[in-house]
Amino acid sequence: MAKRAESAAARLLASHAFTGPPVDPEAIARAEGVLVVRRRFEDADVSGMLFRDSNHHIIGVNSAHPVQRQRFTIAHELGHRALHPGRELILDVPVRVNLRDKTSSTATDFEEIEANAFAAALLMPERMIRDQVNQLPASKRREPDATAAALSAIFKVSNSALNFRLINLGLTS
Amino acid sequence: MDRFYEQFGQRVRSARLNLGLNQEALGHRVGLERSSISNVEKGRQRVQLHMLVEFAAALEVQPIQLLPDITAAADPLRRVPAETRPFVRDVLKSARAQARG
Repeated sequence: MAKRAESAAARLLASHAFTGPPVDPEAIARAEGVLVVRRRFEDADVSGMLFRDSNHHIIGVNSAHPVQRQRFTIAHELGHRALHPGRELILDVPVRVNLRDKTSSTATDFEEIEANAFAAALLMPERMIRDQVNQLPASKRREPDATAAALSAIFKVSNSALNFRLINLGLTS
Repeated sequence: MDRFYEQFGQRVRSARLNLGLNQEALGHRVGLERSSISNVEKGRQRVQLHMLVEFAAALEVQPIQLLPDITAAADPLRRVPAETRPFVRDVLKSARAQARG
């Protein structure tokens, strides 16, 4: 599942001549013909949505959330768009990353996990992460916290997203 | 019902492309001719239940991911929690305004 998300994200990234880091998911969405709409919403815990009909693809982002989270949300919705055809409206509540405890396995859960894997791969491509890790001074590289802090600033993602990515890539434990 | 098989076909196609397989390669994995894969993806050929499992395995997805949700209400807003609907409405309204502008 992660492999499928990983390769779909790599393909999307490769089809746009972007340099990075940071990767700009909104520019990618726009280049794909997707309308990105930011609206502030605080009455319920919603991070974003993807709406698709025959004419429009729309990504909605809750602008009440921190900018890094909004970037992750856009990448996450691009993941749904690339991987999960069919549903007209997908609404996303904030990321619950607790895969080990997951006992349910509905289609929706699979899709959320896969869209998260896609977002991580899009915002933190393996090659870019490895390049940046290699460029860090040795003093920082020895300190997991310093590595995460330096890289999350470069990739414009949250510390936890970055840490999770480093673990998945086997670059830290 | 036609719609169901069309949507199933779209999901098969999308999952196939995500794996970078052509129709022939997928056909090989599930034991069908390329032309059958083409018909399945267009919703013109209705697959049997055991083939759903074959397709899912070949496409490296869960069977449920290939199944369209035909219970979905005509209005997608009805499928999301009531307290989140203002956000969805606001986004769609704003998108429509942007599309016109």
